[in-house]
Amino acid sequence: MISVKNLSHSYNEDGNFAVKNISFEVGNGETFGFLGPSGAGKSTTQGILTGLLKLQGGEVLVAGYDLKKVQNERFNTIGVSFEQSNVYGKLTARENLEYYAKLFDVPTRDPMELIHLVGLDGKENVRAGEFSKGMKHRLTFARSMINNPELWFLDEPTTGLDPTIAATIKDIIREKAAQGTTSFLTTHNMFIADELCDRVAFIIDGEIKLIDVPKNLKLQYGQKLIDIEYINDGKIVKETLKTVDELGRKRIGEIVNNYEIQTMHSKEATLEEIFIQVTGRELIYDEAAK
Amino acid sequence: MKLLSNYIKEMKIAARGFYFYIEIAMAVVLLAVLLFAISETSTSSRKQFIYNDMPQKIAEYIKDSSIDRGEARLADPTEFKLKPAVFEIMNQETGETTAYRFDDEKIIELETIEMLDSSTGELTETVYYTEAEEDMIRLAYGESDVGATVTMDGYGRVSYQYYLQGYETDRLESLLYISHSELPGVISAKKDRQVVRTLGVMETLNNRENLVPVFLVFAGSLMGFFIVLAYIFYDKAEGVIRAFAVTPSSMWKYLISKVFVLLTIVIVSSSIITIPVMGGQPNYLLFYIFLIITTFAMASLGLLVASFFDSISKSFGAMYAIMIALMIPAFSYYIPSFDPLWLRFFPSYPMLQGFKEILLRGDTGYVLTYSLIFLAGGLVLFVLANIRFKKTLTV
Amino acid sequence: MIKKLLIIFKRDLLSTRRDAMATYMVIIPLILAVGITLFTPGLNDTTVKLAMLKSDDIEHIDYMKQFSKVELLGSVEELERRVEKRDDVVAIAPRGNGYEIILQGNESEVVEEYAVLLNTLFELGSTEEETTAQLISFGRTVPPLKTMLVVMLISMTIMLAGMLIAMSIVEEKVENTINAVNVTPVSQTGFVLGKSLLGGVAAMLGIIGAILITGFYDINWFMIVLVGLTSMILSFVIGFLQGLSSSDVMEAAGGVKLIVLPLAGSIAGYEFLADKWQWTMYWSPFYWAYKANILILSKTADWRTVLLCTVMVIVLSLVVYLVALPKLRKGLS
Repeated sequence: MISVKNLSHSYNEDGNFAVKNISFEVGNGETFGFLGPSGAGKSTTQGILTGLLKLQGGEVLVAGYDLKKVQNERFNTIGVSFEQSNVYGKLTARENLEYYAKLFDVPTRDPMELIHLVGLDGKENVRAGEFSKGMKHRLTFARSMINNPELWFLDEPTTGLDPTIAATIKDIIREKAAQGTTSFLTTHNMFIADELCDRVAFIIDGEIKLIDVPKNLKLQYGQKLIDIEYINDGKIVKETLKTVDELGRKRIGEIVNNYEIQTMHSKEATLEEIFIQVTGRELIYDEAAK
Repeated sequence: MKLLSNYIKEMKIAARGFYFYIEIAMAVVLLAVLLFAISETSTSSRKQFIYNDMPQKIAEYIKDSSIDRGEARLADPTEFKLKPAVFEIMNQETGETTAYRFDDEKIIELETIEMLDSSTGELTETVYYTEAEEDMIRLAYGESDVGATVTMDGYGRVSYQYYLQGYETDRLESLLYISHSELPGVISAKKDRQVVRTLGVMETLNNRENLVPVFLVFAGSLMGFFIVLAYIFYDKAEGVIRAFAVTPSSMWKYLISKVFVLLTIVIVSSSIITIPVMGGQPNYLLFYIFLIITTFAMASLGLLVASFFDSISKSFGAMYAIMIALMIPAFSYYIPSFDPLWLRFFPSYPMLQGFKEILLRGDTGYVLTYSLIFLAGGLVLFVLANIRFKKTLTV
Repeated sequence: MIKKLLIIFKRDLLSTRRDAMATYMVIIPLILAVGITLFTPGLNDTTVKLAMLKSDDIEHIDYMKQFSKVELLGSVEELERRVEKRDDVVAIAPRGNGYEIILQGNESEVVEEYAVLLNTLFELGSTEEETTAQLISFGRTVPPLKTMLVVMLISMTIMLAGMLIAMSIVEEKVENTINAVNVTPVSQTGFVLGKSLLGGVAAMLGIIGAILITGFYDINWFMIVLVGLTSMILSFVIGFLQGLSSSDVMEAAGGVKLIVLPLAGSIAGYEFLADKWQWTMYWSPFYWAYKANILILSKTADWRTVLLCTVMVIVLSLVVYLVALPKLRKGLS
């Protein structure tokens, strides 16, 4: 669905590249995560793929369309959910969706159906300007589905949302994935990426460090650990032990046999930990880079 | 269809905003000003203060003769307040200066004669006669108008001593000198023998109608430049341009829908101002064509300017400078003698003149020529704006 | 409070320096002042414009040039085309042993009379030396039109300072930084004053510069500074009213447009209404500011009048502020 070869982009065309010679592919029906801190080049890459930024260097095919040629009809096949809500404040939720639907040349979904899907029932006739941040985000998200996109671009789909709404959004993404929609998800939230993505790419300073399935990454980079909490002399003691290590296994046995166990959890490496290991950088929000 | 959807969306947004109604309200207010505060005839006329230093009978005879000939009429006496003042006067020929100081304040009543246009009967000048020369000098200084002492010498020749402010041009001073170089009778006889040929009886706009082109250009087309700018920045703040950019709809449809909203507003407001004042006189087909094209051109300029900036505050300087520059031709409109060639390159110059021709049913060729020029210019600006908007899209 | 006031002022200055808006606020009045200085001689030259034939007698042409602007053209047809143009130009062309004066037909009688008189005087061979007129001058060098233009420029600068403040407020509202200030020790009054300072300072600098450039050096500077300060108060009130009652740029623009009406109306009222009707303008602070400025620049102002105007501007601005205060507070929170 997406083929990117040697993509580069410099905002000021002065030799400082926001994206440096990256290459990757996204298969049909895949949910592909683009992970990295702010300023890594995620939004730039997505901007080029969605057509907001002009292709400067490299070859890119999106949904079969070569981005070197200007072809407006390709927008019929994609949907974009922006990180910053950008709906018309003076139009109601329904009007926003009805208007947007008319901009496409393909059959579109019923706005009321989408409003219901994102949990904005009863608010369809309220002006978007009166919505809370979460509601505006849901409306922006709903709008991205109006044209039944084959390829769906999701930019930080759950950032800043409360857990309930975030859970709704994630469910919708999973459902669409199950229906065969290809998704290109950009985020700095590793947990979301872990939950939703079939494959992830780590990008930092405009370069892709690796691309793989989350499970493989955890197997490759993670350490198999167990956290045990037990009672010793009336106090709760916690130990983290490696299961791949002989000493660790022996100690686990000793604890299990000799102490009252309070809790025991196996611990997999998180994508965040793997990211730090691979890139040497944390996934903190980098104000300066932004 | 997409264009229509865009236009309907823009009209909904405009109608739910405060600004749309202000434009209409302003048009109504301007109409009210035109109908009730501006008379059809010009009330501005020159003023002159005269002290007659000649035998009273002769002075009365001169006044009565003018009244009898229909060149003047006696009006009600006018009250003037003489304020304290300190100043110096200088005789231009001798260089002699005289200082004056008045510490008192008094109210005086002056005989008033209104001088009339011989063909239209309109007021051209109001002459006030003072009893004392010092009063005349004080009034000429205080009111910043021309004063004169009229005397008659032993030979019966009338001579004038004019009191001028000091900023009058050399040409005007020369004119005053030369006007009194012959006996009035001699001038009059020669004047009557001058051959005057009029090219054609031209309709003119009256004092009230003359303001309509000004309102149309400045409150209509020019404001269009500003309104479109503001609407674009409003959309930029909301981020909706990016959402539009990822649809199959072309950017130019988004931009033109903004122009259409503006055209709607300008057509309504301009009609409110023009129709009640001008009635059926103008060529309305040409009027609306010219209005639409000039508004389109100004709106395209607004779109292009908006494409260079992220917010209205950043564009403020450019916007302000352009608006001021476009207002300058108004001087030429009201002061026909100020008509330098460079002024005609300002778009508002032909706009003002074009609307004037339309309202007078005058030079259609001029209007059509400039309609084509504005249409071409507007299209060029629009295309450039379209290119810039696409180029400056960002994440 | 002063320290916090200055902090807000500095923030605005930083923000606006990046936007260059305040710089434009200062520079544009200066550029307009240069324009006024350059063009008022031309505007003031209100004698008639004549069109004559190049082949006409040089004496005739030179004679006319003493009293009017003369344009020389090649043929009678060209003269007729010139006369038909929009501006008031009268043509004088040789015809037989004399001349004919060619008019379009829509000129004012004054223009026609000038042209006829000038040609008559030429034919009589009149010269200035034979005149019985004497000219006495009051020594004023500044035409009233120039004074009016400068004062209009001052009024416009004040209004635009208000617009600057309004836009700045709307920017704070859109970015929601107003709420951030509300949870600091800065009082609402302090916030109001801090935000107004930038617009006011920019306006004052522009006005002073414009007055100097247009050559009004020898006015009473104490008076003009006093009026300038009170006008700043006016621009503060306008700016805040517009900024806080508007939720976005479009509404602020609309509000500013509404303010243009009383401003223009006040100027028109002062200039065109008869003395007995001037009282109808007493409600407008713009009227009092304009009046004071005109009197000061034409050097006919006395302190009593200036103080009266100043007090009226302050009182009327305060009235507006107090009436709008509930709305201002609501907009600030």
